[in-house]
Amino acid sequence: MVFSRLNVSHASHSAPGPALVPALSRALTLLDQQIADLDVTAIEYLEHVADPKFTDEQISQLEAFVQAHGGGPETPTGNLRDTSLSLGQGGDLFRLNCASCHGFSGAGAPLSAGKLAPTLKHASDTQLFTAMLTGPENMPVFNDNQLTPNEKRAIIDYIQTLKESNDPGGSGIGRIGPVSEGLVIWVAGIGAIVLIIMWIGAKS
Amino acid sequence: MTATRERETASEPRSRRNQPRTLLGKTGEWFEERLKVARPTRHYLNKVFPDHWSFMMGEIALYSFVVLLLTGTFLTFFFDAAMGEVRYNGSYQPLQGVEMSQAYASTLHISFDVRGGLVIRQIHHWAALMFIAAMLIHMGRIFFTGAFRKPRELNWIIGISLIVLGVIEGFAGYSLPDDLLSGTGLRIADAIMLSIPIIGSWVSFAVFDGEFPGTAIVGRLYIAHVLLIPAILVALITVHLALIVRQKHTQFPAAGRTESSVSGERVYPIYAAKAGGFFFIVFGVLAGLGGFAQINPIWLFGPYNPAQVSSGSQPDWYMAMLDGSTRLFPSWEIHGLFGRYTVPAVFWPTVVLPTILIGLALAYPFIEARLTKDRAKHHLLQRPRDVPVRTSLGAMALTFCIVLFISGGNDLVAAAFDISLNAMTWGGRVALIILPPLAYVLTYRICLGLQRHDREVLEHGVETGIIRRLPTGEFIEVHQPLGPVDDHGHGELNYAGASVPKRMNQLGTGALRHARGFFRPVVEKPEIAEKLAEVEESEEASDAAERRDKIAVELEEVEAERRHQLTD
Amino acid sequence: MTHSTANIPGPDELREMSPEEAMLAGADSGGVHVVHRRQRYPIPGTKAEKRAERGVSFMFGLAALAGVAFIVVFVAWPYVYHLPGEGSQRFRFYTPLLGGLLGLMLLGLGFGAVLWAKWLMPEEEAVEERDDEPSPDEEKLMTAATLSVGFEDTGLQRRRMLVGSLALAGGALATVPLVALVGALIKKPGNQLAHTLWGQPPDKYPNGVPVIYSDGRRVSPNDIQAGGLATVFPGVPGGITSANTPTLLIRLRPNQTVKSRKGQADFGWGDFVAFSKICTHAGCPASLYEQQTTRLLCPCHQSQFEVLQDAKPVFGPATRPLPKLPLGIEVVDGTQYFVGRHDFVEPIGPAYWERP
Repeated sequence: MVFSRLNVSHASHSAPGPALVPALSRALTLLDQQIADLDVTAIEYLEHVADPKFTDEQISQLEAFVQAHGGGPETPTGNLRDTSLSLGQGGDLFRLNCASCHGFSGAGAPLSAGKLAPTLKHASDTQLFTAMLTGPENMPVFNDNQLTPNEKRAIIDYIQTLKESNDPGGSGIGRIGPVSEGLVIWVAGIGAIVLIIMWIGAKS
Repeated sequence: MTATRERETASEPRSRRNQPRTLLGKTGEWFEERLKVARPTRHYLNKVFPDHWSFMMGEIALYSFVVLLLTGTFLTFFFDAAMGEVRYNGSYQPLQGVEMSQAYASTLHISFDVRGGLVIRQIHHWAALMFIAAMLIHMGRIFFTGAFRKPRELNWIIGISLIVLGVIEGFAGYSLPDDLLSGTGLRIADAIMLSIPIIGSWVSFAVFDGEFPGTAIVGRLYIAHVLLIPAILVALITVHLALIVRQKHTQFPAAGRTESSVSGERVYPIYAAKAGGFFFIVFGVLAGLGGFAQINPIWLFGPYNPAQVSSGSQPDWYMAMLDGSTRLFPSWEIHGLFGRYTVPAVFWPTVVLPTILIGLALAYPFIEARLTKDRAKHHLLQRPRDVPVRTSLGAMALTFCIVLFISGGNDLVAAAFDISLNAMTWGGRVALIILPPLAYVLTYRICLGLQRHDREVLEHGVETGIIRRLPTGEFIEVHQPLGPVDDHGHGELNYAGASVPKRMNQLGTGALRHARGFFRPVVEKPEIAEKLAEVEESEEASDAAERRDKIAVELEEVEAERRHQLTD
Repeated sequence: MTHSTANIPGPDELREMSPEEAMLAGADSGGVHVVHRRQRYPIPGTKAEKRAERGVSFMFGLAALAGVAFIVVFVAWPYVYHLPGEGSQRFRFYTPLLGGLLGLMLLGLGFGAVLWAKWLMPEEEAVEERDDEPSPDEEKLMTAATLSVGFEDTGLQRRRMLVGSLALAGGALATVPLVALVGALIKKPGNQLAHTLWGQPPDKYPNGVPVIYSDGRRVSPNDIQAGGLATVFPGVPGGITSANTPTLLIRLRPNQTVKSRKGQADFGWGDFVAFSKICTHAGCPASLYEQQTTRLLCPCHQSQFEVLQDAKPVFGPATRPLPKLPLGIEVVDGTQYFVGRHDFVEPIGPAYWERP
């Protein structure tokens, strides 16, 4: 999964000069295309992770270039979990805006026609923040006016805390709900008990 | 004797010689004097139950139900079936301060702030999943062996009703916590109710006390879940078991088993020990699941909010069939019926389809009886291979159901196997039409093949794996005949519906009494070993004689049985 | 019962017999014939028997130990939930330990009982007569006579007026409890399903119903970027909690044009469109928005709606487009804020018989 640290989008920067605008637009379109081309279809269950096409350094350089020519949202710094909202409020925001694609525990889900909303299991704080801000690929864009940075940090706090926290009920079996529970009851539950009744009914 | 004593001489004088002396005897006498229990006690303690392993699957369901009752009662002491909004103030920090219904808050309370609450809650939910799964495999056994035939059609109907009620009970149960996942399911249930022609919106408004979600539904589901449906379930299960006691269990045909007797073990003490032990084993497995495998983690789902939903929202596994049918059914809706009415698309896969399936299931014994023109009573079971049409129909129905089950989780399957979501939908639609007939044909051929193999082994004997070279140079495999052979060496035994041994170790030949001991054989003291050898020899001699007589009688009985069945 | 009762021994005979013989006689008298019975250890006290007894006792002993351990863990093990780094994480073993120890205890009991039957109790096979013949003719005749004479006694066959009035009374008995107990549950839907809280009297909200986020803030066009979406609600009492009102406010890119449905061409505002979030198939929020393909995917049954065609369903079981909310703008203190001009022009969510 790739979350570009490049925080520009088409509509948010002011045009610096007539000649530069078309060039910049083209560059940005290309960038978008690069990101869209990235292969996110690895085989692992929902853990589709791919390497970014650009190194961190290259992304910083691209970012500096765009900032120098009109600018746009920047990669956030500092503690991205520092928020005035509670975990509960962060969770509420997550469920309202994010869970419909990424699942209530961030496990990810398929979108239409082969697309994918990836798992959040490997996402860092920065990746989460910049993804919300830029809306990579088919993910919607969550402006800082729509979801304030404070709210974004609350969502990050919630998701990262959830990832680190332990399951009180034993093994989380994937934290994806009834499907894995159904598999467990049939394979482990009924399976074990049928083997046992075959043993009970056996005659020596 | 005194005057009072004389009045007691209905049967015989109660002299001191006849008074019970042990505690058990005295207890028995106490009940006997009030309830006259001597003969019924013996009657029920001596009842015979056959002990084939596949007969214990219904017990799994029964014991899971008992576990449900026990753990459910505990939960009712802590659950609050109200939908008033409260702010959470318990020990699960990620939800602190969040507004939620009392039902959700009390479920969090059970899970985090009641000692042992979570393990009981999880055992309860696993037991519910086990209950329905066990009922389904039990139903499968009944179906494929023909145990639903006369005189047991009534028990079949009760059984199907138990499954339907169990599914509804489970749905009501997991909707009680009012979490985001089950609330989404309730929303869909509302849409299903709305889709019913003519009365749909009235049904929805009656159930939810107005528009969805209202504030009444959790309380109403609660009463249905802890009182109404359990009462019906208990009543039906009691009748179900009473009918088995009255009609006695079926059994597979074998030597010594006829339509007019049932063989196995007596209830007391052997069968009771096994059955009672099995209850603890089922309970133990459920306790293990409840401890080690987290289930229905509602704190991860969040409280129900009609504006929120999670991807990968599925109902519990037993509803997956309906979810699948809803996902696969095309967008076919009837508009403008009679000029202005709508029949929504949801109606067909969620109301019509289950009604047809349940109706077919209920009617099946009568349909089959009519088509086979079979009006006889049957206490002997049929091996699935011997009734290829029914077995293939069953395989077809099973395939249909499995395609729907998988389609119920088609988004997770799509993600796991990297298949397009749209392709899963289309694939499911096509598979639903094509695979069941394929399954029918395949199963039919397999049944016929198995039947032929049975008769082949009866005719030619069991393959021993011993290769012998004849003087002529030809290699042959030595076969062990199963019974008397004619001049050509072909077996004369007819197939009588019993399992045919196919391997040498099923014949019990050369079976010495196995040595006991795990790491080292258990060696008795010499004098004891001698006595044991004597006892075993005499037993073997009498056993052998017994066996010879038995076989002769059995062969006669089996032939008589076969003639009896053919003439019915 | 038509068992072979011919040979029930008398009480004196029974007292002479060994208990085992008496038991067998008792079984026979009830139609149960023990055809094979063998003590597993004909010579008591052998090593094999002791070994078997030890095995079964071990199971029960294990169960007892596990039970004690369960009680200790139940009382003494920490079970309070803590976030990582904020307290002991040992709570995560509480439930597994309880379940495991309880399971061990129950399995010990269970396997102990089964092994007791398999290893120590005698081998036995019994045959029970089914007693399956139909009732003798005399029984059937007498019962038939009882039923028919009883029916004649009621006189229902001849007394027409009685039958008629009984039928009427019976009909009342069948329906009145239903009415009394279930009647109060019935509520008239009216046309409630066709309206949402977005439809307010114009005199109360002359500029339109304010569009707000879930935290109550009003929504301004500048909030949302092209390719973004927000869940919005009407800023009226109950607007956030109602199940009918959640709405998706989507900002399209300037080059994306919407092919509107009839009569809804002016429902958008600028690059913005707003659709009911409630899927028209079965009511789940259809909120998986793919901003590049402009599809809305509903996670429940995979219906897909094409935003550029006014949320027309293009895949899956949904049949009707998502209703569109007519957007307007109200300027307050120099800032533009969205309003809903009037209610959706069709019922939102799943359909029903009398849907207009």
